Amino acid sequence: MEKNKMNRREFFKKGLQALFGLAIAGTTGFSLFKTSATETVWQIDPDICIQCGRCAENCVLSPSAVKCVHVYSICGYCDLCSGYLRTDPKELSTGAENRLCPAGAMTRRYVEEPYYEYVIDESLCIGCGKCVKGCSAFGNGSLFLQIRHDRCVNCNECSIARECPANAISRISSRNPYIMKGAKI
Amino acid sequence: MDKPGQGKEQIYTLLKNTAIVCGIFSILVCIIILLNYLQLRSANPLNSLKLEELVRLYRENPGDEELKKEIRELDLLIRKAFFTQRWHIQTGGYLFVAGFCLFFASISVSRLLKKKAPRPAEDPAPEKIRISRFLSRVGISVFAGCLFIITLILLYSSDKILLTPGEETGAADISAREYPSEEELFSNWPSFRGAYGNGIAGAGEYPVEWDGKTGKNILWKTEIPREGFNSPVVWENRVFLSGADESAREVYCLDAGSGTILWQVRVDDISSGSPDFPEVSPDTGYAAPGITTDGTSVFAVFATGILVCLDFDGTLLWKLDLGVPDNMYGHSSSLITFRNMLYVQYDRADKAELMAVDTANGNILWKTKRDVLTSWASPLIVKDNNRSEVVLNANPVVASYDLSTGKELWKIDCMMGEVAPSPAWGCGYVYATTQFASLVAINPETAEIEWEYYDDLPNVASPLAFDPYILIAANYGVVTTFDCRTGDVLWVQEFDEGFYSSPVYANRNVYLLDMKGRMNIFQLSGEYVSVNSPELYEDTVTTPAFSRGRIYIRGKHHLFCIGGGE
Amino acid sequence: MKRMTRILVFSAMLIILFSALSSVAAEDRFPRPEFQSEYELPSTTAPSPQDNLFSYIDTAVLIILLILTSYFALKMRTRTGIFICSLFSLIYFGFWKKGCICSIGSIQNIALALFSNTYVIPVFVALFFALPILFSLFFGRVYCAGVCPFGALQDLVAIKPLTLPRWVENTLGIFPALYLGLSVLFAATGSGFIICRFDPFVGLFRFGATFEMFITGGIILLIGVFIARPYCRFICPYGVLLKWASALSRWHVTITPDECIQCKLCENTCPVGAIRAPSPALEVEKREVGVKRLVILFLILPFVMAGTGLFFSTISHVFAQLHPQVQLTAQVLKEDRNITRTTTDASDAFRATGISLDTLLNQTDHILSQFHLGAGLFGLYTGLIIILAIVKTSVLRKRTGYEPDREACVSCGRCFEVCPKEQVRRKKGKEHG
Repeated sequence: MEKNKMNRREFFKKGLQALFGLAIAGTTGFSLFKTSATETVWQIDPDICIQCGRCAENCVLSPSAVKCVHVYSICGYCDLCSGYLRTDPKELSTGAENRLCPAGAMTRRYVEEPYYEYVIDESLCIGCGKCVKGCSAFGNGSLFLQIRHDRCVNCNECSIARECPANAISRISSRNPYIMKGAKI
Repeated sequence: MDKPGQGKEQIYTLLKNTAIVCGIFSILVCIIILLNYLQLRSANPLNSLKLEELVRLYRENPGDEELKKEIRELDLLIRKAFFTQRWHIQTGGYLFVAGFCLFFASISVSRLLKKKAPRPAEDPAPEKIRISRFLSRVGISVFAGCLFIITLILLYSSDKILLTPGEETGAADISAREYPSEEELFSNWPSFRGAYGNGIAGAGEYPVEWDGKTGKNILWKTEIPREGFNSPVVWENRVFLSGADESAREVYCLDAGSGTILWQVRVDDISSGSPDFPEVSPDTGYAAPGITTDGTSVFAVFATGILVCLDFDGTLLWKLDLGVPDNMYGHSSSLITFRNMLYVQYDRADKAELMAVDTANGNILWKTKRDVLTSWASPLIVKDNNRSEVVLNANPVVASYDLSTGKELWKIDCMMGEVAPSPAWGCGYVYATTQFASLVAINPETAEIEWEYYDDLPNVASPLAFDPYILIAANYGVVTTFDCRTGDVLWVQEFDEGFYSSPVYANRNVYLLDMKGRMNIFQLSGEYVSVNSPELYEDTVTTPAFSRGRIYIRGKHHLFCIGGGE
Repeated sequence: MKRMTRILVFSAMLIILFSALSSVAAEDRFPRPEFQSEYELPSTTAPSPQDNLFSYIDTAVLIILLILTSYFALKMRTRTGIFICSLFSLIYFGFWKKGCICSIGSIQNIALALFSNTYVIPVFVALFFALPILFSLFFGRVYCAGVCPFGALQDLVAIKPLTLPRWVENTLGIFPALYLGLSVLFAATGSGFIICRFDPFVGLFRFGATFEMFITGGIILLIGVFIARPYCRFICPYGVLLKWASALSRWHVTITPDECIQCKLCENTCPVGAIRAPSPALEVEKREVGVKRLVILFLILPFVMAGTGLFFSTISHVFAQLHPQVQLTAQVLKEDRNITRTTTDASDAFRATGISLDTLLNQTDHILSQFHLGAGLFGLYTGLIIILAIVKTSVLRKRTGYEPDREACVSCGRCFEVCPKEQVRRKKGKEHG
């Protein structure tokens, strides 16, 4: 009698064990239908980005893994750069009273009359997007924010994406990990 | 307990002291980091109010060199502080981790050295176990209760705006708009199966002879970029249709005179990679629902649930996302308008409804919930002096709704299976049918079935009613004609090919296109009298459009315009 | 002077361009320069993300650690081996890989992949989810002992673990199961990954997190000094799955390598209070009382489940508020109905897209209906969990010696060495070796 009971218990346990195993395997197997060979990384779509400045504050890294990127092929090389200077500057000098970047990460270099080159020092850039805002509002939009993958730790849930009011951040294939402007040019 | 030796004791003291030092060190570092952190929060160069204030002042006094110098110094200071503090926190973090590790390591090792002998546990007394279990039960219940109370508090403080409906929108001045007359509706072909969706063409001579091979009477033939099972609609000199595949949904406008594509507009909707992109069967496709026009705009809906309104130049006027329909083959109910309203039969597997959308702005004017399964049929408008309703066919009911309010007028439980044929109107009766159910003649006055017929029923083609006849065309090629009032069978004729295309009445003849592109033209009369059966030599499943003496037929790849013939 | 004119010209151009050509693509506002000098356009750098190869390495490390820990715990019976595994995992998965992705968080990826048509997960994420559970089904919670970096961190700080009364443990023990349900609900509806959001330790691994999360992590670690593994026992949702698997496991660590001699030495060594004493000789309570209670519990089970299911599905909008789009819709409606005058960045961004309000409302309707169903299911599950937890306190398993509770035991191996029988075995092993 006692032995019988044990057997029944064993049988019950085995059954449950198999069932649980199958459930886990099934769940995983089903989700495996949706697996991809290529992995994904977080990236900002510059066409959706509204330059609200949250990227600078919400990244788990400090400073943020979001940096301003400059695509030179669409830059107008203006003297009066709306990404570099505050709106309505008193003079086109590089002094702090005219400069837009709060971190002093953007430098300006004379190329030839009347063109100036603007370069971003990534180690100083904090990803606030002030220059991006200026450039997209009045310029060619050659400055824009991108998540830099040498810094990004690829969190399971990106804490900037969660806070992004425009839903501009999503996972894209790690084979093409940047959404660069001016790719069509 | 074995006594540790002298050396062991010394190591123990050393470890203990290390632990104390490391502990204090970690705590100090931790405090410094916290202070730095808080300071960094307030001294962020992004929002330095003082700097902004100085810059503002400088703007007012542009020449002030003193002020300029001050700004530059402050800017440098802030930036320096910012990056130094960052560095402090980073370095502090490493120091803290190092201190923390040492602290725990020394404590763990010292505890290993001074290991106490294990203490035997107390005897498990039954009484104790019982009390513990009782407390567990109480604890779990109380804990669960607390969670419910927390949820209730959240409920109380939650935002209920989404649950409270706003005031009715779309109360625009509709009387000011002008609508096409009935005459205009019939001389054009504004929707699937023409004006009111009843399959009857306006007065005029229509060709009965053509040939797809020789090109006889074929005025033009244009290739349509993307496939679609919707039928062309015509308004004056424009022909509209839509096409779609997995990658794009498009609306086309062709010149009725030359057949050139005047414009094609891609409807930006969800991409095939985005959530809930619908799956459709290949014989339904993404562009099965017929498009429609009210004479000023054209309306199109796709299997993705995106409804768009374009003007005659192809400019997007408004767009409405109805939500991706849960439909096993793909949404296919056609659109139809009446005055200011666009009717959308949206019978999905999870939710069935009829909605009326304001043609001017895309506001939903009303929605009426329907208790039916997925339907692939299209709405029929019944409009005469007595009646003003929209009739829908679905499993299990044929139902009618008031044209302006959407209130249900009558319904009859008589359908089953998958319903695709649309209802028809004639002789004062509504006719509805589908394969595996029956052909019913419904008197809308009494909401009763007047007669019923069970053989050779269509599974796609809609019935055609024109006083005093009604005819149906089965998908395997059998056509049956009845007396529309009594339901007596007048004649049955078998054809070589089956029918998906719905029969159309034009100029005393019935035009019935089979699946292989042959147009069976015969008289609508008490006996079968064939007129002609010209061939197009291209597969056809859509219903042709008839307007101003011309017939527009959408084949698998081309749109044909047939005219002349005298 | 020349400079001033240029500024003026530029300013005028700006104004004209901005007002007249605002619809023109931004890229065309200023012509691209044609340089006379030998200027070469610098290229924009694009540092590539970590190679896919690393995820294979991670999976391999996971498998090796699982095998090693199982071997150390069940075969070798050595605490040191398990400890080294856990230390390695803490350094590798924790500080080196920065804690992402971990098996705990992978629950959400799996849930979202199951319910979303487009969300895809890399294969290694599925493996991170399934492998520890499968191992648990065969060997018990070896993942918690030697592979989980969270477990390792908490194990390190557990210096002076106190024994909690059983009823406290039973009571708090239902929270992880509910947390699991909630996290699946929120992940499946696309509202976000709450396990990651409220992850107390990952910030320590990355040296970066919000201030609040740092503090929470610190507090949990401090508690962990006296109450061993507080996250594992009272929060961890993945632990719930491992618990269920472990309860059914084929093999499991034992305290003694032999037969228990009931010396009672081991019971106080367990930091997580998982060691169960043999059944007392005397009856704990009358058989009829226990049976009657069980019958009542099973009778009310369907009603409780229906009640909680109904309750949660009727208040599902409380949960739905966590979904960003639902928040956006609420904000937009408030603005439209003049309830609030301040707009948010999100509502401004939405209005800038030109999508109609009806479209947004339709999508939100869809989300709300998903929540209606999801919260209902969560309610059913909650009812079941609560009743089953009470049922568990009403059944008594017969034990002849001291045994680890298969659900609670994390296989850390601390109990091995106090067992006299184990000492005998080790001595024998030494003599043989």
